[in-house]
Amino acid sequence: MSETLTLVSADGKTLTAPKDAIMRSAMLKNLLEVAANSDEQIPLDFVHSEDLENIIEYCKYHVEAEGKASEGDISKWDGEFINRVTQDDQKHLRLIQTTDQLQIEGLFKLLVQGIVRKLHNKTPEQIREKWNIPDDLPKEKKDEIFNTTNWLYKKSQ
Amino acid sequence: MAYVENSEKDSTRAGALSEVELEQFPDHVLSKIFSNCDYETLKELNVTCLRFSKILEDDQLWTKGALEELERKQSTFRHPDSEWSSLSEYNPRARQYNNKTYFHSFGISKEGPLVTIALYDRLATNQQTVTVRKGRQITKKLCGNTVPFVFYCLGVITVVALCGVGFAGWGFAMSATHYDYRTTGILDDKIMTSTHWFGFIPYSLAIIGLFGYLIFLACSKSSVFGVLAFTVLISSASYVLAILKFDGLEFFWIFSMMPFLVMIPVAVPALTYVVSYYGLGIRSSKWKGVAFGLVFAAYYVVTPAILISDNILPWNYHLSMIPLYLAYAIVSIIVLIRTFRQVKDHKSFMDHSRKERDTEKQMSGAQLYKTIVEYLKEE
Repeated sequence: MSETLTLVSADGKTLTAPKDAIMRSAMLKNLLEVAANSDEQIPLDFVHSEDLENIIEYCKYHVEAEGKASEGDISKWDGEFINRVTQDDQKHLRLIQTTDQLQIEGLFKLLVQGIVRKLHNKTPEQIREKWNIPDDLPKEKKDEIFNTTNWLYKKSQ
Repeated sequence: MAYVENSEKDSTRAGALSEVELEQFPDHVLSKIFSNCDYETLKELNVTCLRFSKILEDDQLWTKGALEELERKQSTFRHPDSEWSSLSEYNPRARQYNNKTYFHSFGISKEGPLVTIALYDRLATNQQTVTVRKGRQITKKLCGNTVPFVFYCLGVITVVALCGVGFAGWGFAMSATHYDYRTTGILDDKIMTSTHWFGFIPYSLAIIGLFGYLIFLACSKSSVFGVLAFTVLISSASYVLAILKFDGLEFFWIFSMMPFLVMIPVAVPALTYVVSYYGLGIRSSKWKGVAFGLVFAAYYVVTPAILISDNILPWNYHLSMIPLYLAYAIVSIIVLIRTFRQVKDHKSFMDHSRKERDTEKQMSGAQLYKTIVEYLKEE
């Protein structure tokens, strides 16, 4: 049985995960190589426990599936996983932030693609409304964009 | 084990548990997201908020989307509904693009214009050459890539070589036997010697090759060569059927005339083109087009006239040649209409192109495209 490590989330929840899975995070890998002992708890003060659970689930699956499952099976699982964890926009954004900090490339890419899908086919107003973004683009800047490339914005104007 | 100092701990913990805003993501994360967006989404994001707009000043983020958009535009370029299909739609865009005081054609600043100009130059180049690059399109359609091109070249070489050998053999056979098509039956066993076969077999192959090539052209999507090839095939068939009906003109003679029947309609306009371009130095596509079209059409008018005025052929022979004459007349009309329409279209494209050249263009389209490719490779 592979070695396990204990991770502590920002909300104080303790979670154990196989070391192989944790090593999927480039940031934790570097940390473990330099400083950590496997018998100590690793505090992850920037990670919500809910996100940590999802990240561990992702990493565990990929460690286990590597070399065993087909590419099709893995991408199918990835699709289902991303659909599940990104249903809530706030959770989705938090996961992006966390995976960026933990440097888990594969998961980060999938989450980014999820955001891209959510932004697709939306007007600026819809994007602002959905993601709670202020309309702070100065009028002069907007005019400049519309005046110089009015043909680009023909449909949306 | 303390990886984070206590004072920082509280703030990071608070960050993890508080609301996260897309707009407040670090630059590299937003860049990563935007680099995956398509062109339409980027356009919308560019006017969503100040932060997004600032991030999108990075040219690289637009490149992928813009290239995809370019491909899409090119694929729909000739579609009647395409926004690029008419000059009236194209010109305002070209003017904006040529106006170097604005460097935001794709919402790009800094190094952006280079990419923008290159992309638009490609669009502009395509637009103005859309009617004059038929030759290249035909070659592309016929040849595709290297392997079919090699086969195509081998086929042409084989046909030409066989034609040469065939004609030489045929000429040799004719002179050796003092053959006269008016009086002697060439297919007579007594006269059909091995000398004849020497010329006859490669010659037959050459004829088959020529007609195969014509059928190939006729079946290709190229309208000009397609019309030409179909006309020659129809007229040749009509010619053969007509002559076979009468005594005195026999199969081998008709067969021997085939290359002329096939080659002359192609060779005469081609020669006109060569003479006008290289001999007379007419470089204007307009006049080349007119000369080409007129000679092409004249051939189809003059040929039936000569055939009709030839007293050797009986009057009812001409009746049976009606399909041939009709084909010639139709082709001459089509060619004339096409010629003048193309000249008219081409003239407006040439005028537009001349105006473009007079503007403050820094590089040609090809140079710009090369530059952008190098630029992207470096990145």
